[in-house]
Amino acid sequence: MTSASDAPVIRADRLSRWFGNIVAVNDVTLDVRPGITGLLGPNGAGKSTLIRMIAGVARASSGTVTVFGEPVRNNPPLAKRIGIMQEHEAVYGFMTGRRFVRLMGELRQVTPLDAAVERAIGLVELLDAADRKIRTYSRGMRQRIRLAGALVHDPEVLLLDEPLNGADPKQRIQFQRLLRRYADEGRTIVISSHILEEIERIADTVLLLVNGKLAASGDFRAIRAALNERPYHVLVACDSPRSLASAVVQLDSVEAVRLDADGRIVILSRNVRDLQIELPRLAQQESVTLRRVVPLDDSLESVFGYLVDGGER
Amino acid sequence: MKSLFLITLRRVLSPARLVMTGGLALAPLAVTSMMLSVDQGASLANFESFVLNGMLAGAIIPLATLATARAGFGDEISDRTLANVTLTPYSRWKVVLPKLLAVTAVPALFIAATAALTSHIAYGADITATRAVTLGAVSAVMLYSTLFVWLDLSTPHAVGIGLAYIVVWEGLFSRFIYGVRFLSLRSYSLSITHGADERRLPDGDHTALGLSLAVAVALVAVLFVLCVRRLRTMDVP
Repeated sequence: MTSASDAPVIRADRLSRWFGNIVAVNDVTLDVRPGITGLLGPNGAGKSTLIRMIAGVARASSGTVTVFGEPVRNNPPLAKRIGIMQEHEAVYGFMTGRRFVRLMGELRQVTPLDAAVERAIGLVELLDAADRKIRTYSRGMRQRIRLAGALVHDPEVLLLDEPLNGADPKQRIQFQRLLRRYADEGRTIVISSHILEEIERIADTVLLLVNGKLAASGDFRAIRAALNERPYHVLVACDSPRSLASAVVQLDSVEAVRLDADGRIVILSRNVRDLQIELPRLAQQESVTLRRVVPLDDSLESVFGYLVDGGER
Repeated sequence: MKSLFLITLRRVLSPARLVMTGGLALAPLAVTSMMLSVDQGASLANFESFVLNGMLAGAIIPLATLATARAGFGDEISDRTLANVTLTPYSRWKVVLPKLLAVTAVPALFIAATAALTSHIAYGADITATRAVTLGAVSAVMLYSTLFVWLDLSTPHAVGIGLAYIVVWEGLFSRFIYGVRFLSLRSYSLSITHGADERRLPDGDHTALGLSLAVAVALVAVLFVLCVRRLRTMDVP
Protein backbone atom coordinates (compact mmCIF):
# COMPACT_ATOMS: atom_id res chain seq x y z
CA MET A 1 0.00 0.00 0.00
CA THR A 2 1.09 3.57 -0.57
CA SER A 3 3.14 4.95 2.24
CA ALA A 4 1.63 7.63 4.36
CA SER A 5 4.28 10.07 3.23
CA ASP A 6 3.22 13.35 1.74
CA ALA A 7 4.97 12.77 -1.56
CA PRO A 8 2.78 13.46 -4.57
CA VAL A 9 1.48 10.29 -6.16
CA ILE A 10 0.18 12.00 -9.29
CA ARG A 11 2.13 14.82 -10.91
CA ALA A 12 1.11 16.78 -13.95
CA ASP A 13 3.53 19.29 -15.38
CA ARG A 14 2.28 21.91 -17.84
CA LEU A 15 -0.22 19.39 -19.17
CA SER A 16 -2.29 20.44 -22.17
CA ARG A 17 -4.61 18.72 -24.55
CA TRP A 18 -6.31 20.22 -27.52
CA PHE A 19 -8.65 18.79 -30.12
CA GLY A 20 -8.24 20.85 -33.28
CA ASN A 21 -8.91 24.42 -32.20
CA ILE A 22 -10.54 23.40 -28.93
CA VAL A 23 -8.33 23.47 -25.86
CA ALA A 24 -9.67 20.90 -23.40
CA VAL A 25 -6.88 21.12 -20.84
CA ASN A 26 -4.62 24.15 -20.79
CA ASP A 27 -1.19 24.17 -19.16
CA VAL A 28 -2.23 22.40 -15.97
CA THR A 29 0.39 21.75 -13.32
CA LEU A 30 -0.72 19.86 -10.23
CA ASP A 31 0.31 17.43 -7.53
CA VAL A 32 -2.06 14.93 -5.98
CA ARG A 33 -1.21 13.30 -2.67
CA PRO A 34 -2.81 10.37 -0.85
CA GLY A 35 -6.33 11.11 0.32
CA ILE A 36 -9.40 12.25 -1.56
CA THR A 37 -8.93 15.01 -4.11
CA GLY A 38 -11.99 16.51 -5.70
CA LEU A 39 -11.75 17.64 -9.30
CA LEU A 40 -14.40 20.28 -9.60
CA GLY A 41 -15.56 22.23 -12.59
CA PRO A 42 -18.56 22.93 -14.78
CA ASN A 43 -19.48 20.64 -17.66
CA GLY A 44 -16.93 20.96 -20.44
CA ALA A 45 -14.21 22.23 -18.12
CA GLY A 46 -11.83 19.43 -19.13
CA LYS A 47 -12.23 17.18 -16.06
CA SER A 48 -12.77 13.96 -18.01
CA THR A 49 -9.89 14.69 -20.37
CA LEU A 50 -7.60 15.38 -17.41
CA ILE A 51 -8.64 12.15 -15.67
CA ARG A 52 -8.16 10.20 -18.88
CA MET A 53 -4.69 11.66 -19.32
CA ILE A 54 -3.80 10.75 -15.73
CA ALA A 55 -4.99 7.19 -16.41
CA GLY A 56 -2.94 7.07 -19.60
CA VAL A 57 -5.83 6.37 -21.97
CA ALA A 58 -5.62 9.80 -23.58
CA ARG A 59 -2.38 11.35 -24.72
CA ALA A 60 -1.21 14.82 -23.82
CA SER A 61 -0.67 17.38 -26.57
CA SER A 62 2.11 18.80 -24.43
CA GLY A 63 3.41 18.42 -20.89
CA THR A 64 3.87 15.31 -18.82
CA VAL A 65 1.94 13.28 -16.29
CA THR A 66 3.40 10.69 -13.95
CA VAL A 67 1.93 8.33 -11.37
CA PHE A 68 4.32 7.01 -8.71
CA GLY A 69 7.03 8.81 -10.67
CA GLU A 70 6.42 6.75 -13.80
CA PRO A 71 4.99 7.93 -17.13
CA VAL A 72 1.47 6.65 -17.55
CA ARG A 73 1.32 6.22 -21.32
CA ASN A 74 2.32 2.80 -22.64
CA ASN A 75 3.14 1.57 -19.19
CA PRO A 76 1.03 -1.60 -18.81
CA PRO A 77 2.47 -2.66 -15.42
CA LEU A 78 1.14 0.59 -13.93
CA ALA A 79 -2.40 -0.56 -14.77
CA LYS A 80 -2.24 -2.94 -11.80
CA ARG A 81 -1.91 0.05 -9.47
CA ILE A 82 -4.61 2.26 -11.00
CA GLY A 83 -8.36 1.81 -10.99
CA ILE A 84 -10.50 3.99 -13.18
CA MET A 85 -14.21 4.49 -13.54
CA GLN A 86 -14.90 6.66 -16.55
CA GLU A 87 -17.93 8.87 -16.88
CA HIS A 88 -19.43 6.89 -19.74
CA GLU A 89 -20.82 3.48 -19.03
CA ALA A 90 -18.49 0.83 -20.32
CA VAL A 91 -20.08 -2.42 -19.27
CA TYR A 92 -21.11 -5.56 -21.08
CA GLY A 93 -24.87 -5.76 -20.70
CA PHE A 94 -24.94 -9.47 -21.52
CA MET A 95 -22.75 -10.34 -18.54
CA THR A 96 -23.84 -10.83 -14.98
CA GLY A 97 -22.41 -8.38 -12.48
CA ARG A 98 -20.20 -11.10 -11.00
CA ARG A 99 -18.88 -12.14 -14.43
CA PHE A 100 -18.05 -8.52 -15.25
CA VAL A 101 -16.08 -8.00 -12.05
CA ARG A 102 -14.39 -11.36 -12.57
CA LEU A 103 -13.40 -10.33 -16.08
CA MET A 104 -11.95 -7.08 -14.80
CA GLY A 105 -9.96 -9.13 -12.26
CA GLU A 106 -8.76 -11.58 -14.90
CA LEU A 107 -7.62 -8.77 -17.14
CA ARG A 108 -5.64 -7.28 -14.27
CA GLN A 109 -4.13 -10.63 -13.32
CA VAL A 110 -5.65 -10.66 -9.83
CA THR A 111 -4.91 -13.64 -7.61
CA PRO A 112 -6.71 -15.20 -5.83
CA LEU A 113 -9.49 -14.11 -8.12
CA ASP A 114 -12.61 -15.55 -6.45
CA ALA A 115 -11.93 -13.85 -3.13
CA ALA A 116 -11.12 -10.54 -4.83
CA VAL A 117 -14.35 -10.64 -6.84
CA GLU A 118 -16.50 -11.33 -3.79
CA ARG A 119 -14.70 -8.62 -1.81
CA ALA A 120 -15.17 -6.00 -4.56
CA ILE A 121 -18.86 -6.81 -5.04
CA GLY A 122 -19.32 -6.80 -1.27
CA LEU A 123 -17.71 -3.37 -1.02
CA VAL A 124 -20.35 -1.89 -3.31
CA GLU A 125 -23.06 -3.92 -1.53
CA LEU A 126 -24.29 -5.65 -4.64
CA LEU A 127 -23.88 -9.31 -3.67
CA ASP A 128 -27.62 -9.95 -3.86
CA ALA A 129 -27.83 -8.83 -7.48
CA ALA A 130 -24.42 -10.10 -8.60
CA ASP A 131 -25.84 -12.96 -10.66
CA ARG A 132 -28.27 -10.80 -12.61
CA LYS A 133 -27.44 -9.58 -16.10
CA ILE A 134 -26.06 -6.04 -16.04
CA ARG A 135 -28.62 -4.95 -18.62
CA THR A 136 -31.31 -5.47 -15.96
CA TYR A 137 -29.56 -3.16 -13.47
CA SER A 138 -30.71 0.33 -12.63
CA ARG A 139 -28.32 3.15 -13.43
CA GLY A 140 -27.17 3.34 -9.83
CA MET A 141 -26.49 -0.40 -9.78
CA ARG A 142 -24.50 -0.17 -12.98
CA GLN A 143 -22.40 2.57 -11.43
CA ARG A 144 -21.77 0.34 -8.41
CA ILE A 145 -20.79 -2.70 -10.45
CA ARG A 146 -18.43 -0.51 -12.48
CA LEU A 147 -16.94 0.69 -9.22
CA ALA A 148 -16.50 -2.93 -8.14
CA GLY A 149 -14.72 -3.55 -11.45
CA ALA A 150 -12.41 -0.64 -10.72
CA LEU A 151 -11.71 -1.91 -7.20
CA VAL A 152 -11.24 -5.61 -7.86
CA HIS A 153 -7.47 -5.38 -8.19
CA ASP A 154 -7.23 -3.30 -5.02
CA PRO A 155 -5.65 -0.28 -6.72
CA GLU A 156 -3.53 2.27 -4.93
CA VAL A 157 -4.83 5.07 -7.13
CA LEU A 158 -8.51 5.39 -7.91
CA LEU A 159 -9.71 7.76 -10.63
CA LEU A 160 -13.47 8.34 -10.60
CA ASP A 161 -15.14 10.49 -13.22
CA GLU A 162 -18.57 11.68 -12.11
CA PRO A 163 -19.16 8.44 -10.20
CA LEU A 164 -22.26 9.61 -8.38
CA ASN A 165 -24.37 10.16 -11.48
CA GLY A 166 -27.52 8.11 -11.05
CA ALA A 167 -26.85 7.24 -7.41
CA ASP A 168 -29.63 7.71 -4.87
CA PRO A 169 -28.98 9.42 -1.51
CA LYS A 170 -28.41 6.12 0.30
CA GLN A 171 -25.92 5.01 -2.32
CA ARG A 172 -24.16 8.37 -2.09
CA ILE A 173 -23.65 7.90 1.63
CA GLN A 174 -22.37 4.34 1.14
CA PHE A 175 -20.08 5.60 -1.55
CA GLN A 176 -18.70 8.38 0.62
CA ARG A 177 -18.07 5.91 3.44
CA LEU A 178 -16.25 3.56 1.08
CA LEU A 179 -14.04 6.30 -0.34
CA ARG A 180 -13.24 7.59 3.13
CA ARG A 181 -12.18 4.11 4.19
CA TYR A 182 -9.98 3.77 1.13
CA ALA A 183 -8.43 7.18 1.73
CA ASP A 184 -7.74 6.30 5.37
CA GLU A 185 -5.77 3.29 4.14
CA GLY A 186 -3.40 5.71 2.41
CA ARG A 187 -4.73 5.41 -1.12
CA THR A 188 -4.98 8.26 -3.59
CA ILE A 189 -8.43 9.02 -4.89
CA VAL A 190 -9.35 11.60 -7.52
CA ILE A 191 -13.05 12.16 -7.91
CA SER A 192 -14.55 14.56 -10.43
CA SER A 193 -17.89 16.27 -10.22
CA HIS A 194 -19.62 19.41 -11.37
CA ILE A 195 -21.60 19.54 -8.14
CA LEU A 196 -19.95 21.74 -5.55
CA GLU A 197 -21.69 20.30 -2.49
CA GLU A 198 -20.92 16.74 -3.54
CA ILE A 199 -17.19 17.42 -3.65
CA GLU A 200 -17.35 19.45 -0.45
CA ARG A 201 -18.71 16.46 1.45
CA ILE A 202 -16.19 13.96 0.12
CA ALA A 203 -12.90 15.63 -0.73
CA ASP A 204 -10.03 16.71 1.47
CA THR A 205 -8.55 18.94 -1.19
CA VAL A 206 -9.95 20.40 -4.34
CA LEU A 207 -8.68 21.10 -7.83
CA LEU A 208 -10.90 23.59 -9.57
CA LEU A 209 -10.86 23.38 -13.34
CA VAL A 210 -12.51 26.04 -15.50
CA ASN A 211 -12.18 26.21 -19.28
CA GLY A 212 -9.35 23.72 -19.12
CA LYS A 213 -7.34 25.81 -16.68
CA LEU A 214 -6.60 25.09 -13.06
CA ALA A 215 -8.45 27.99 -11.45
CA ALA A 216 -7.80 27.13 -7.82
CA SER A 217 -6.45 24.29 -5.76
CA GLY A 218 -5.96 23.39 -2.17
CA ASP A 219 -8.06 23.17 0.94
CA PHE A 220 -11.78 23.29 0.33
CA ARG A 221 -12.41 25.81 3.12
CA ALA A 222 -10.23 28.42 1.41
CA ILE A 223 -12.13 27.96 -1.81
CA ARG A 224 -15.44 28.07 -0.03
CA ALA A 225 -14.41 31.32 1.68
CA ALA A 226 -13.51 32.79 -1.68
CA LEU A 227 -16.91 31.73 -2.97
CA ASN A 228 -18.70 33.35 -0.05
CA GLU A 229 -16.92 36.62 -0.69
CA ARG A 230 -17.82 36.82 -4.35
CA PRO A 231 -20.25 39.57 -5.36
CA TYR A 232 -23.80 38.50 -6.14
CA HIS A 233 -26.42 40.38 -8.12
CA VAL A 234 -29.88 40.05 -6.64
CA LEU A 235 -33.02 41.27 -8.40
CA VAL A 236 -35.83 42.57 -6.19
CA ALA A 237 -39.34 43.40 -7.42
CA CYS A 238 -41.54 45.31 -4.97
CA ASP A 239 -44.35 47.89 -4.84
CA SER A 240 -42.11 50.79 -3.84
CA PRO A 241 -38.67 50.32 -5.36
CA ARG A 242 -37.28 53.82 -4.74
CA SER A 243 -37.93 53.84 -1.00
CA LEU A 244 -36.61 50.28 -0.58
CA ALA A 245 -33.53 51.07 -2.71
CA SER A 246 -32.63 54.08 -0.56
CA ALA A 247 -32.94 51.94 2.58
CA VAL A 248 -31.08 48.95 1.15
CA VAL A 249 -28.07 50.99 0.09
CA GLN A 250 -27.40 51.77 3.77
CA LEU A 251 -26.81 48.08 4.57
CA ASP A 252 -23.24 46.90 5.22
CA SER A 253 -23.83 43.80 3.11
CA VAL A 254 -24.68 45.89 0.05
CA GLU A 255 -22.07 47.36 -2.28
CA ALA A 256 -24.28 49.02 -4.87
CA VAL A 257 -27.90 49.44 -5.82
CA ARG A 258 -29.51 50.45 -9.12
CA LEU A 259 -32.98 50.52 -10.59
CA ASP A 260 -33.46 48.76 -13.93
CA ALA A 261 -35.72 49.93 -16.78
CA ASP A 262 -38.69 47.97 -15.38
CA GLY A 263 -38.41 49.65 -12.02
CA ARG A 264 -36.91 46.68 -10.27
CA ILE A 265 -33.97 46.92 -7.87
CA VAL A 266 -30.65 45.24 -8.73
CA ILE A 267 -28.51 44.84 -5.61
CA LEU A 268 -24.81 44.01 -5.67
CA SER A 269 -23.80 42.27 -2.46
CA ARG A 270 -20.70 40.49 -1.21
CA ASN A 271 -22.55 38.97 1.71
CA VAL A 272 -25.71 37.34 0.50
CA ARG A 273 -26.27 35.52 3.75
CA ASP A 274 -26.66 38.80 5.65
CA LEU A 275 -28.69 40.31 2.82
CA GLN A 276 -31.14 37.37 2.99
CA ILE A 277 -31.76 38.18 6.66
CA GLU A 278 -31.83 41.94 6.40
CA LEU A 279 -33.91 42.44 3.26
CA PRO A 280 -37.27 41.16 4.61
CA ARG A 281 -36.74 43.06 7.87
CA LEU A 282 -36.03 46.25 5.95
CA ALA A 283 -39.05 45.79 3.69
CA GLN A 284 -41.29 45.37 6.72
CA GLN A 285 -39.76 48.43 8.33
CA GLU A 286 -40.35 50.54 5.18
CA SER A 287 -43.84 49.01 4.65
CA VAL A 288 -42.82 47.71 1.25
CA THR A 289 -44.30 44.54 -0.20
CA LEU A 290 -41.67 42.24 -1.76
CA ARG A 291 -42.95 40.49 -4.88
CA ARG A 292 -39.83 38.67 -6.09
CA VAL A 293 -36.26 38.18 -4.93
CA VAL A 294 -34.08 36.40 -7.52
CA PRO A 295 -30.31 35.77 -7.48
CA LEU A 296 -29.09 36.71 -10.96
CA ASP A 297 -25.78 34.89 -11.08
CA ASP A 298 -26.12 31.81 -8.97
CA SER A 299 -25.23 29.34 -11.69
CA LEU A 300 -22.24 27.11 -11.20
CA GLU A 301 -20.59 28.63 -14.24
CA SER A 302 -20.77 32.09 -12.68
CA VAL A 303 -19.30 30.73 -9.45
CA PHE A 304 -16.41 29.14 -11.31
CA GLY A 305 -16.07 32.19 -13.52
CA TYR A 306 -15.70 34.37 -10.48
CA LEU A 307 -12.94 32.20 -9.11
CA VAL A 308 -11.08 32.31 -12.43
CA ASP A 309 -11.39 36.09 -12.69
CA GLY A 310 -10.54 36.44 -9.03
CA GLY A 311 -7.45 34.32 -9.55
CA GLU A 312 -6.33 36.56 -12.38
CA ARG A 313 -6.85 39.79 -10.53
CA MET B 1 -5.39 -13.47 -23.16
CA LYS B 2 -8.03 -16.17 -23.03
CA SER B 3 -10.49 -13.63 -21.61
CA LEU B 4 -9.79 -11.20 -24.45
CA PHE B 5 -10.23 -13.98 -26.99
CA LEU B 6 -13.54 -15.05 -25.47
CA ILE B 7 -14.99 -11.52 -25.20
CA THR B 8 -14.13 -10.89 -28.83
CA LEU B 9 -15.43 -14.28 -29.90
CA ARG B 10 -18.73 -13.53 -28.24
CA ARG B 11 -19.05 -10.40 -30.33
CA VAL B 12 -18.07 -12.23 -33.51
CA LEU B 13 -20.69 -14.87 -32.75
CA SER B 14 -23.51 -12.35 -32.38
CA PRO B 15 -26.63 -13.52 -34.24
CA ALA B 16 -26.44 -10.68 -36.78
CA ARG B 17 -22.84 -11.46 -37.67
CA LEU B 18 -23.47 -15.20 -37.82
CA VAL B 19 -26.40 -14.71 -40.19
CA MET B 20 -24.36 -12.36 -42.36
CA THR B 21 -21.23 -14.49 -42.46
CA GLY B 22 -23.21 -17.69 -42.88
CA GLY B 23 -25.38 -16.15 -45.60
CA LEU B 24 -22.38 -14.86 -47.50
CA ALA B 25 -20.60 -18.17 -47.13
CA LEU B 26 -23.56 -20.05 -48.56
CA ALA B 27 -23.78 -17.87 -51.67
CA PRO B 28 -20.91 -19.45 -53.69
CA LEU B 29 -22.22 -22.89 -52.83
CA ALA B 30 -25.69 -21.97 -54.02
CA VAL B 31 -24.43 -20.32 -57.20
CA THR B 32 -22.17 -23.27 -58.05
CA SER B 33 -25.02 -25.72 -57.50
CA MET B 34 -27.29 -23.62 -59.72
CA MET B 35 -24.64 -23.31 -62.43
CA LEU B 36 -24.23 -27.06 -62.54
CA SER B 37 -27.95 -27.82 -62.41
CA VAL B 38 -28.78 -25.37 -65.21
CA ASP B 39 -25.84 -26.25 -67.39
CA GLN B 40 -24.21 -29.61 -66.80
CA GLY B 41 -21.50 -28.60 -69.17
CA ALA B 42 -20.64 -25.39 -67.39
CA SER B 43 -16.95 -24.95 -67.89
CA LEU B 44 -14.42 -24.84 -65.09
CA ALA B 45 -13.22 -21.58 -66.59
CA ASN B 46 -16.63 -20.04 -65.92
CA PHE B 47 -16.67 -21.41 -62.37
CA GLU B 48 -13.21 -20.06 -61.67
CA SER B 49 -13.92 -16.71 -63.24
CA PHE B 50 -17.35 -16.04 -61.70
CA VAL B 51 -17.35 -17.98 -58.46
CA LEU B 52 -13.75 -18.16 -57.29
CA ASN B 53 -12.31 -14.95 -58.70
CA GLY B 54 -15.37 -12.71 -58.82
CA MET B 55 -17.56 -13.87 -55.99
CA LEU B 56 -15.46 -15.59 -53.37
CA ALA B 57 -12.20 -13.65 -53.58
CA GLY B 58 -13.69 -10.37 -54.81
CA ALA B 59 -16.77 -9.99 -52.63
CA ILE B 60 -17.66 -12.77 -50.17
CA ILE B 61 -14.37 -12.97 -48.30
CA PRO B 62 -13.73 -9.22 -47.97
CA LEU B 63 -17.34 -8.51 -46.99
CA ALA B 64 -17.49 -11.30 -44.41
CA THR B 65 -14.18 -10.25 -42.88
CA LEU B 66 -15.15 -6.57 -42.90
CA ALA B 67 -18.23 -7.48 -40.84
CA THR B 68 -16.42 -9.68 -38.36
CA ALA B 69 -13.27 -7.56 -38.04
CA ARG B 70 -15.37 -4.84 -36.47
CA ALA B 71 -15.84 -7.13 -33.47
CA GLY B 72 -12.12 -6.82 -32.80
CA PHE B 73 -11.88 -3.18 -31.83
CA GLY B 74 -14.55 -1.22 -33.70
CA ASP B 75 -17.40 -2.35 -31.46
CA GLU B 76 -15.40 -1.64 -28.32
CA ILE B 77 -14.48 1.81 -29.55
CA SER B 78 -18.16 2.49 -30.27
CA ASP B 79 -19.48 1.29 -26.91
CA ARG B 80 -16.45 2.62 -25.03
CA THR B 81 -15.51 -0.71 -23.50
CA LEU B 82 -12.05 -0.64 -25.06
CA ALA B 83 -10.61 1.00 -21.93
CA ASN B 84 -11.56 -2.14 -19.98
CA VAL B 85 -9.16 -4.22 -22.04
CA THR B 86 -6.40 -1.67 -22.55
CA LEU B 87 -6.02 -0.59 -18.92
CA THR B 88 -4.43 -3.91 -18.16
CA PRO B 89 -0.91 -5.05 -17.36
CA TYR B 90 -0.71 -6.82 -20.71
CA SER B 91 1.59 -5.58 -23.46
CA ARG B 92 -0.35 -4.20 -26.37
CA TRP B 93 0.54 -7.10 -28.66
CA LYS B 94 -1.07 -9.42 -26.14
CA VAL B 95 -4.26 -7.41 -26.52
CA VAL B 96 -4.17 -7.39 -30.33
CA LEU B 97 -3.25 -11.05 -30.87
CA PRO B 98 -6.24 -12.78 -29.18
CA LYS B 99 -8.63 -10.32 -30.78
CA LEU B 100 -7.15 -10.89 -34.20
CA LEU B 101 -7.33 -14.65 -33.71
CA ALA B 102 -10.98 -14.44 -32.69
CA VAL B 103 -12.06 -12.26 -35.61
CA THR B 104 -10.12 -14.44 -38.06
CA ALA B 105 -11.13 -17.85 -36.75
CA VAL B 106 -14.87 -17.59 -37.31
CA PRO B 107 -14.91 -16.32 -40.93
CA ALA B 108 -11.99 -18.65 -41.68
CA LEU B 109 -14.12 -21.63 -40.63
CA PHE B 110 -17.11 -20.50 -42.69
CA ILE B 111 -15.04 -19.59 -45.73
CA ALA B 112 -12.91 -22.73 -45.53
CA ALA B 113 -16.07 -24.81 -45.41
CA THR B 114 -17.69 -23.09 -48.37
CA ALA B 115 -14.46 -23.02 -50.40
CA ALA B 116 -13.90 -26.72 -49.77
CA LEU B 117 -17.49 -27.73 -50.54
CA THR B 118 -17.82 -25.50 -53.60
CA SER B 119 -14.55 -26.65 -55.16
CA HIS B 120 -15.31 -30.25 -54.21
CA ILE B 121 -18.55 -30.03 -56.21
CA ALA B 122 -17.06 -28.06 -59.10
CA TYR B 123 -13.87 -30.09 -59.49
CA GLY B 124 -15.54 -33.45 -58.95
CA ALA B 125 -13.86 -34.37 -55.66
CA ASP B 126 -10.38 -33.42 -56.86
CA ILE B 127 -8.54 -33.25 -53.52
CA THR B 128 -5.60 -31.21 -54.80
CA ALA B 129 -7.88 -28.58 -56.33
CA THR B 130 -10.09 -28.47 -53.26
CA ARG B 131 -7.07 -28.03 -51.01
CA ALA B 132 -5.65 -25.27 -53.22
CA VAL B 133 -8.90 -23.27 -53.27
CA THR B 134 -9.34 -23.67 -49.51
CA LEU B 135 -5.76 -22.58 -48.84
CA GLY B 136 -6.17 -19.49 -51.02
CA ALA B 137 -9.48 -18.61 -49.38
CA VAL B 138 -8.16 -18.97 -45.84
CA SER B 139 -5.12 -16.87 -46.77
CA ALA B 140 -7.46 -14.18 -48.03
CA VAL B 141 -9.44 -14.27 -44.75
CA MET B 142 -6.26 -13.75 -42.74
CA LEU B 143 -5.08 -10.89 -44.95
CA TYR B 144 -8.40 -9.07 -45.05
CA SER B 145 -9.09 -9.59 -41.33
CA THR B 146 -5.78 -8.07 -40.30
CA LEU B 147 -6.25 -5.17 -42.71
CA PHE B 148 -9.76 -4.40 -41.48
CA VAL B 149 -8.84 -4.72 -37.79
CA TRP B 150 -6.12 -2.14 -38.37
CA LEU B 151 -8.56 0.04 -40.29
CA ASP B 152 -11.03 -0.14 -37.39
CA LEU B 153 -8.34 1.04 -35.01
CA SER B 154 -7.29 3.82 -37.33
CA THR B 155 -10.50 5.52 -38.38
CA PRO B 156 -14.11 5.82 -37.25
CA HIS B 157 -15.09 5.45 -40.92
CA ALA B 158 -13.60 2.00 -41.27
CA VAL B 159 -16.73 0.38 -42.71
CA GLY B 160 -17.15 3.02 -45.44
CA ILE B 161 -13.48 3.02 -46.34
CA GLY B 162 -13.43 -0.78 -46.24
CA LEU B 163 -16.37 -1.00 -48.62
CA ALA B 164 -14.81 1.54 -50.97
CA TYR B 165 -11.56 -0.43 -50.87
CA ILE B 166 -13.35 -3.68 -51.72
CA VAL B 167 -15.29 -2.21 -54.62
CA VAL B 168 -12.80 0.24 -56.08
CA TRP B 169 -9.38 -1.20 -55.32
CA GLU B 170 -9.96 -4.92 -55.23
CA GLY B 171 -12.97 -4.99 -57.55
CA LEU B 172 -11.88 -2.59 -60.28
CA PHE B 173 -8.28 -1.43 -60.14
CA SER B 174 -6.65 -4.75 -59.30
CA ARG B 175 -8.45 -6.46 -62.18
CA PHE B 176 -7.97 -3.93 -64.89
CA ILE B 177 -4.83 -1.99 -64.10
CA TYR B 178 -1.60 -3.88 -64.53
CA GLY B 179 0.69 -3.56 -61.54
CA VAL B 180 -2.05 -2.97 -59.02
CA ARG B 181 -2.19 -6.74 -58.50
CA PHE B 182 1.06 -6.43 -56.59
CA LEU B 183 -0.85 -4.33 -54.08
CA SER B 184 -3.99 -6.44 -54.09
CA LEU B 185 -4.83 -8.92 -51.35
CA ARG B 186 -7.22 -10.66 -53.72
CA SER B 187 -4.47 -11.22 -56.28
CA TYR B 188 -2.15 -12.78 -53.72
CA SER B 189 -4.85 -15.14 -52.48
CA LEU B 190 -5.63 -16.22 -56.06
CA SER B 191 -1.93 -16.68 -56.72
CA ILE B 192 -1.73 -18.96 -53.68
CA THR B 193 -4.59 -21.05 -55.06
CA HIS B 194 -2.93 -21.23 -58.46
CA GLY B 195 0.46 -21.95 -56.93
CA ALA B 196 -0.93 -24.82 -54.87
CA ASP B 197 -2.55 -26.34 -57.96
CA GLU B 198 -1.33 -24.86 -61.23
CA ARG B 199 -4.25 -26.35 -63.16
CA ARG B 200 -6.53 -23.91 -61.39
CA LEU B 201 -7.05 -20.31 -62.48
CA PRO B 202 -4.68 -20.78 -65.41
CA ASP B 203 -5.65 -17.53 -67.14
CA GLY B 204 -4.52 -15.19 -64.41
CA ASP B 205 -1.27 -13.27 -64.21
CA HIS B 206 -0.06 -14.89 -61.02
CA THR B 207 2.79 -14.32 -58.66
CA ALA B 208 4.85 -17.40 -57.73
CA LEU B 209 3.55 -19.45 -54.78
CA GLY B 210 6.60 -18.90 -52.62
CA LEU B 211 6.57 -15.17 -53.18
CA SER B 212 2.80 -14.97 -52.64
CA LEU B 213 3.03 -16.84 -49.34
CA ALA B 214 5.99 -14.72 -48.24
CA VAL B 215 4.17 -11.50 -49.11
CA ALA B 216 1.00 -12.70 -47.36
CA VAL B 217 2.91 -13.55 -44.18
CA ALA B 218 4.81 -10.25 -44.35
CA LEU B 219 1.61 -8.25 -44.87
CA VAL B 220 -0.10 -9.92 -41.91
CA ALA B 221 2.98 -9.24 -39.78
CA VAL B 222 3.23 -5.59 -40.86
CA LEU B 223 -0.48 -4.98 -40.29
CA PHE B 224 -0.25 -6.68 -36.89
CA VAL B 225 2.61 -4.38 -35.90
CA LEU B 226 0.61 -1.39 -37.15
CA CYS B 227 -2.33 -2.48 -34.97
CA VAL B 228 -0.08 -2.73 -31.90
CA ARG B 229 1.48 0.63 -32.67
CA ARG B 230 -1.91 2.25 -33.19
CA LEU B 231 -3.22 0.85 -29.91
CA ARG B 232 -0.22 2.34 -28.13
CA THR B 233 -0.62 5.82 -29.59
CA MET B 234 -4.37 6.27 -29.91
CA ASP B 235 -6.75 7.86 -27.45
CA VAL B 236 -8.85 5.10 -25.96
CA PRO B 237 -12.43 6.35 -25.73
